[in-house]
Amino acid sequence: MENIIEVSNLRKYYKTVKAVDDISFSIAAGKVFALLGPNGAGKTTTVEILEGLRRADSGRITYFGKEITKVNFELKEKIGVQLQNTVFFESLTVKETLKGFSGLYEKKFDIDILVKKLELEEKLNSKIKTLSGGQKQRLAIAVALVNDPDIVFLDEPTTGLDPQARRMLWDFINELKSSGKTIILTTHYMEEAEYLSDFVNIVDHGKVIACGTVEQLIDSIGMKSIIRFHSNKKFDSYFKDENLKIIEDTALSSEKKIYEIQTDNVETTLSNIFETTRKNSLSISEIAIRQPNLEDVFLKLTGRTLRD
Amino acid sequence: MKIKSLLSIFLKEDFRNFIVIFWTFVFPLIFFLFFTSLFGNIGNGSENSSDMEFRAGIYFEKPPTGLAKEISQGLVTGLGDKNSGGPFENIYVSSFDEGIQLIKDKKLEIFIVFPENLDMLNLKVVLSSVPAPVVKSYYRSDSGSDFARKIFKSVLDSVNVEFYKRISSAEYTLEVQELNKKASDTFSYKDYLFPSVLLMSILTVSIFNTPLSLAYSIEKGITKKIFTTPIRSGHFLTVVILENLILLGISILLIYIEGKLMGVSPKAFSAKYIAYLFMNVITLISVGLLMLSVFRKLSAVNVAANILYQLMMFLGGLFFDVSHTPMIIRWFVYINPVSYMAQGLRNIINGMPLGFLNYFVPLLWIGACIIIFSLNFKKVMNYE
Amino acid sequence: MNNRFLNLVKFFFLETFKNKSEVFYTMFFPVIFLLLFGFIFGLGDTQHQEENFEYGLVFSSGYLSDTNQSSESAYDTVKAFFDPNKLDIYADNESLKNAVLSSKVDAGIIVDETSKVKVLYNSDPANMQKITWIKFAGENAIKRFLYGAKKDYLSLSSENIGTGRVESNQMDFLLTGIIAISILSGGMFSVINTFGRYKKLGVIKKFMVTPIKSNEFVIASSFNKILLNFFSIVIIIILGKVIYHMNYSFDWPMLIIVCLSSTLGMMAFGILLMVLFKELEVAQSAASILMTVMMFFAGIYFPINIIPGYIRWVSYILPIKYVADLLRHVAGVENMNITAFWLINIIMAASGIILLSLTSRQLMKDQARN
Repeated sequence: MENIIEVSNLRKYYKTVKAVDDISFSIAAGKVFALLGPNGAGKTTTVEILEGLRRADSGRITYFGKEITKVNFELKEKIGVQLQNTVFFESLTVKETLKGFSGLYEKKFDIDILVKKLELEEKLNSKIKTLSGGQKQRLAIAVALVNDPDIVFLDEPTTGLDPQARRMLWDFINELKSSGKTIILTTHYMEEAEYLSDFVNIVDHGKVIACGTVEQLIDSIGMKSIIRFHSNKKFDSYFKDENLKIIEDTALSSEKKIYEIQTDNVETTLSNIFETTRKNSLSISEIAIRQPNLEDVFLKLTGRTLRD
Repeated sequence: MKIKSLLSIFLKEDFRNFIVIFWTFVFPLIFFLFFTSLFGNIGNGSENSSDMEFRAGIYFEKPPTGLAKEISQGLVTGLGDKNSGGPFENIYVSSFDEGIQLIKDKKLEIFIVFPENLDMLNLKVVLSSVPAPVVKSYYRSDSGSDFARKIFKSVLDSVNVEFYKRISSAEYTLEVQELNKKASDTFSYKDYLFPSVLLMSILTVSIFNTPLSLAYSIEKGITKKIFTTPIRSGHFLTVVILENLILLGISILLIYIEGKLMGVSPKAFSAKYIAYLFMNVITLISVGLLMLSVFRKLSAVNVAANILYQLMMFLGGLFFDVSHTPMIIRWFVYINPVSYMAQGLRNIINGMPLGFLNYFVPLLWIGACIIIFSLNFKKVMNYE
Repeated sequence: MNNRFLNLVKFFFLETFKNKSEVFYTMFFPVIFLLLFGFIFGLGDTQHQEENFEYGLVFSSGYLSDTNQSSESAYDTVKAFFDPNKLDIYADNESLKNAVLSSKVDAGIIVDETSKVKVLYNSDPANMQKITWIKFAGENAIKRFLYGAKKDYLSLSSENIGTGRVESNQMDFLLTGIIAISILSGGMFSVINTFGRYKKLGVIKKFMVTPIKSNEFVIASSFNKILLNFFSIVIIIILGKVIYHMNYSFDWPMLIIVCLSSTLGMMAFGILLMVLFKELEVAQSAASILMTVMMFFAGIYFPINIIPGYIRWVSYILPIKYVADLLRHVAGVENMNITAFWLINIIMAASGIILLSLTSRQLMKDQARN
């Protein structure tokens, strides 16, 4: 598959802070590429360099196979950008804002279709200042698409949205992908990256610490199934029992007696846990079984969670 | 097309903003009307100021007789005669102490005491060696009282001259000529204030509205979004200038309509006046852009705009003469382009030519501002 | 309550004094105005109470031959009649006209041979108020010369009646007026700008969910504005003494009372504007207009007496006149009836407290709702 964007050895330093520290990646056309990392990792700085809002200190960027030194106006015709905090003129209506920005491009997408897809029809003639947070976010995405771009940058598109709104936007992003657009997504939500992306770069402190598909990343840490439970008494000492077939145990909270254990044999481990509780007059509750996720990947790589 | 789209966004935002509408369009009109009504009578050169009111306490230490009586009564009557422009309301007091108390209680602006020996005047007209009776005036330090004192002093001076005129064989006629005015012209405060209001409106948009709204847009990230689109910085700048010009064009038009209705001199509608005004607009827009390129943060622009606006306005001779201020501030008057613009516009109304400095200083400012803005342009316009 | 309130005061104290913008506008902006208007209106020139003018004179050759005197002797004679104003002799009419037009002289006088005297003025309206005095002084002086009026028939002696504790002059009146404007604008704008800022930051909403009462919030945040305003006044007073050598002598305890009552009164005004106009920008505009009107109707920059009668009444309903009077009293510049002094203070303070109490709850509700 052809790479639409290629980034090599990108660096951006601010005095003592290495905001982007030797980042390299490639983005295939028609895919969703996610930059996942905690706040302050360097995701936004990286994409803003690609959007032409910042200049890299060093490194190489290629768009459509051509190396560029600057994001020129021809390139800007082909990209759409939803910024992390997009602010529009408060007194303008949704329609006026969309039309206004549409007028800045040669190529135009039908605004009515956009408005319908992003459920902004009811608010078309409302002023920006009357919109809710979710509506403003949807508008920001709509504005990013007025020129029917080939490449769409979405910087934290669902931050601050309720689960329903978030889900709705995810579906929309998938639709965009289906229409052949290349999407560069920055997010600190693990679920979002897992649900949407074809390829993920995990970024921390300006560096890419892991990259690959979601499956590749999860497999790379070698984690198996995870059983989580609450106990009424401390369970730590029982983990030494080899019969439990535990690969790794973690006391998420010794005080509250919440535990997670990895196993490659869920059935055996569970039944042995029940046996142990029965023998020792213990009681466990809130049992949950899950598969490893990107949060676990990040935790494994950095010792911190994405939310830290 | 791109410029048109962006311009329409900016203008729509401006026209829905109460602050912009009020201070750009409405306030100058109110200001012009209000201050012309307020000060219109002052500029007529004083004597016809029937609207001025000063309370003069009058006290005769001893009732005068003869010529002294005639003169003093005539003087007092003249002071209080509204029909002939006398600015005083005469209040006769029964004692010296009463008059002093009234002055202290601010019930009088001036207390005039005709002395006991006023009758010496009768003798003095015959024997010049007789000492002149001394009329005493008592006043306070506030501006109203001081004003009244000055008026009375001038009037008494005229009375003294009148004495000599009557006994002199010589005949002199005094002809007053106001230079740079034709005989048919009458002084008009409206003509004086008209360029001030125009320049004040231009200052408001160029020094306040535009830099502040731009700085706000940059800080809030609105311009950041615009710069992700294929809008060139030059286009953006063009839109900013066009936005300015349109707002100012409308404001100036409204002021002109008001001026026409109020009877401002036809010279203010001449091509020369309008052309010079246009140059002033460009100058002040440049100053606004310069300010933005130097103080990029919104809070700094706010402070700078406030200070510069007040300084340019009050040290530009818009509302009162500042040409004789102490050097500690007069240097600003000399470098302030508004000083030359205001003088230039008034010169055109008065039929006087524009001096070299009326062109040179504003043009110098345009040049300097463009150079500095160009050097800082990328920093201003680039997000980073 | 006390602890909570004190903590709130401390909190706002930090917020106020760490806010550079707020400190600048409340404390230093009035100082800039003081310096600007002080120098413009001649605060630095307190010794010269009378404004002296400069005249130019031309004696026509006809006049000199008629009166059989040389230009120099005629000049020496006429000069005395113009004292203490300055008189320059010019060789010809043209150079005198140019001098008048270029404002080298305030007026020009041409003594003609045909018993005609021409007095030339530059009709530049920048001098419009001064022209009155220029005309009086110049015309009288030349008439005196022509008619040989060396001595007065009626002399005039003027005496300044001191109305205060100190011997004051017009400049003391002007500066106390500037201080009054500063107190009023500081009081009114501080609340409008502060509450506007708090609203934008969402701070008010946050406080509304704590056990703080509305009036506690308003009082605590306002207290610091009063303090800031007072510091500004102190700076202006000190600068007035140092730069302009003003004669005033402030009664500091009384000054604190006046500052407090006036600031309270104007703060209430500011809050009233915010309740009336809801939108911050509109309230700010209304406050700006009010201040502009007050400045011109205060009788500070020019006497109220010259304002046309049909609008002069406005001066008497605006607080600026009364606050200026209070300040002059505490500065020793002009005495005031003690009853009137306390009455005005009480009215300002009481209306301030009442309005603040009544409107604070409504204001907080409005701000939190929006």
